Amino acid sequence: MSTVVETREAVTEEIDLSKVDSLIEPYLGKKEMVIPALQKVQDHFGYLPRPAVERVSKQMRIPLSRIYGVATFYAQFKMKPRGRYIIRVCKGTACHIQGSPKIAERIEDILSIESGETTDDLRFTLEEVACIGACALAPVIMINENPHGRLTPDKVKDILDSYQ
Amino acid sequence: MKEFVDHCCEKCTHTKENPCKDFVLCCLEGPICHENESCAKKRKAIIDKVALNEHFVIC
Amino acid sequence: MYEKHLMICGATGCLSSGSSQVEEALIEELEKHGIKDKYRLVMGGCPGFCEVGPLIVVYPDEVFYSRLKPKDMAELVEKHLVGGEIVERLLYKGPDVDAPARFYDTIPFYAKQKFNVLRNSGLIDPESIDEYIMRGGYRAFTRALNMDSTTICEEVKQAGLRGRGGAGFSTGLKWELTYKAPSSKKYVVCNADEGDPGAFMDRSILEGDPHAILEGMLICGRAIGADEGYIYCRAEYPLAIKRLKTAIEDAERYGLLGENILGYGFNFKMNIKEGAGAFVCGEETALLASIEGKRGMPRPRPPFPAQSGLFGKPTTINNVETFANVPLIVKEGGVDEFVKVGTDGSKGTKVFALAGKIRNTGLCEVPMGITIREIIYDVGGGIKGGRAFKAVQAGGPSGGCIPDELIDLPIDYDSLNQAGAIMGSGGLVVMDERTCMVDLARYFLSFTQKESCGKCTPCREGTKRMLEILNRISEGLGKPEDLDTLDSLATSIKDSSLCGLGQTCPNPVLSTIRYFRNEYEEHIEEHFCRAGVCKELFNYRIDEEKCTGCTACVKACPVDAIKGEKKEPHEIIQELCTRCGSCIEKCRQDCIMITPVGSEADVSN
Repeated sequence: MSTVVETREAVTEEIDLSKVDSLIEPYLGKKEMVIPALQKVQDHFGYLPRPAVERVSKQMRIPLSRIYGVATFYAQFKMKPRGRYIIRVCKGTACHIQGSPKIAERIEDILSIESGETTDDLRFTLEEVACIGACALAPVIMINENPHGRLTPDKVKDILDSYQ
Repeated sequence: MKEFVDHCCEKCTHTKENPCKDFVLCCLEGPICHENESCAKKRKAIIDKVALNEHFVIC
Repeated sequence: MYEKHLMICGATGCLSSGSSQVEEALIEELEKHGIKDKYRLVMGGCPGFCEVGPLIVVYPDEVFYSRLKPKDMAELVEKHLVGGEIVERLLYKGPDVDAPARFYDTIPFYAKQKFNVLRNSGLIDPESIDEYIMRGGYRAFTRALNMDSTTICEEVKQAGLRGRGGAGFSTGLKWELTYKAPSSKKYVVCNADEGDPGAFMDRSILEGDPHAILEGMLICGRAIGADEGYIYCRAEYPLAIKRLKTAIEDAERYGLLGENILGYGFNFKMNIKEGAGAFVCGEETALLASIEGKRGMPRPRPPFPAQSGLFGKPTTINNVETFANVPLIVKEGGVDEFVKVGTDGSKGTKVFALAGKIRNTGLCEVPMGITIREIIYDVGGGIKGGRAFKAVQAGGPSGGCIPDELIDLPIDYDSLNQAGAIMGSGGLVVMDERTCMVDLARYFLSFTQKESCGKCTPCREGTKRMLEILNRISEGLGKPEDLDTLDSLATSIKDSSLCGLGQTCPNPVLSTIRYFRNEYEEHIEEHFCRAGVCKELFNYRIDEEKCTGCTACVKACPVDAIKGEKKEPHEIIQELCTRCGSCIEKCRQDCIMITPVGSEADVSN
């Protein structure tokens, strides 16, 4: 448990609240713009650090509980730091019937993490997405912006090895 | 005239602040408010540059 | 003037196959020859045929080059552009054509298509408003500015346009209801939160022809008396959002959006809202809540959005494809032309995303009333690998499967409903004998179960219970009474959920039980998954008679579970095998069989 607390404190120190202020400046006084405001904050930090969310709450005059209610509802918002490489396994129908579960399983085996988790060295985060729209290449994964298509489980290791 | 919104000559006055009701029609079939061959050619030049074939333009 | 135009598909499918590298190589080659200025390169919308991407269409010759690689560009430039000779090698080839197909319209994939909504996709530069205007753009809007609200609604009603987002409600009627609702402030909302897994037609329209959506929304605004619009688009579609933003800026600059548009005293402001990843936001009342900055949860109707929608004001919500149809109807003579295509109850065309075990994956736009057989065999080119067609899933997680025996069913709203599926947004996922229907139902339900917002208990808890049962069945622990329990749970969820998600999410389960009951029973009673999908319920076994000992499977196996020497029959060590299926993909002799656990019987074909 102690490492978790340390990590959180270490991260806390890096949060530049004046940056948060400038990011959400266009949305002040517009409570309906809380989602775009959070999107901007996440674009900058890669996730939603608690101190930043507290700042958004204070500046936009929206209760913290309400903001967390919104943030946790949407899959896009992440509450924890993520890896350098985000692996998105497409779980679209076309990918599913062409074997994406077997691809996901192989990735989980190699990295010893499950979907939604990040490796300890912050190298990879494994996520699922509903459909990335490259059905012709099913099954597909995206690593950051790069798609890898027509996969079979035996190809997975080499692909992961190429992201250091 | 690089694009349709540019004025072919001083007779065209369409801007977003001072709009012309015939603007859309005028892009392909103009000029409508006056007659001038060179103004018509300016529009045609914009079209000819990007039209892929004879079926491309739909009036 | 350019000598030729090269339209490179820049949509997600082709980008994933490497179309940007192809573009780079093409530019390099043109520069090498010093002829770059003679040719116009457009990284544009999608011509639909993702399967054979990356694609380039050369105009005015209309030559369709497919499956391009960067190294092909030298030949394409030298031979075709400089030499004027078509590069046969790069033309479309397939089992459905005798000779390499030279032109766009000789390729069978396109023969039965009718381009209404995709009229400009792949033909114009989506970032050029001038090109949209050249294709007749904003003429329908100009005409609408000269008409009164009632007449516009009447024309849309006459055209018989029904919502392309799923349920198929009459668009004209929806507009009329919003028009009649008394209020000084009204909204037009475009639902571009395309979330069905396996469906990407709206994205293709957004990316390929963004002005068509703006024009459709403007006409709607004029009809209902709204002065503000929102486009709610998935954040996962960054290119679509970028193109929409460019389109809005250009339309404002041209005086087609803003104050006193074209001098008719009509004002319209357009906003884009990025979704944040919640499938339920495709449901209209949830979508409105999300635009208002709240959790995207649906609310009871009535009041319908037409009476009380966004920020409590009367609102019309239509999806992308519906709005893209509108300019075609409202243009001069549009209604007459529109009603010529389609069936009595379903007019016009529908865009489908074809995917799954089909040869020609991609987007197609076909007249309503076309049969499933025509889509699969003529447009889609048949089943991949020559296996047998089993079923097609229409309408994604809200839809149902249509089995082999209904292959001549015409595709329109009413026939699909009767068969237990829905039109939905237009995803068609084709399945062959290697698709397990229990697994398919489980897949869709696990998707909707995760996406249930939790407001209605039957949907939140009921889908969980159904999923548990399906999980058990696919692990070989099914009970004979499970099918009845599934049926009764499904009925309760459908009857007692507020929104479309809950009301439709049991459909995949119900329709697979309806048409493939025997497959469920085989899982429950014989603990066997014939399709080779449910891992606990089958073994792979090598047919020693057929195996030539090529070692392809030995090399493919990621866990070293296959042993055997070259030219000797191989053997699978069942204790090590994880049933990942890598071997069966690689076997050229078709000698790996799917057999029941602990049985030696050969049940594969």
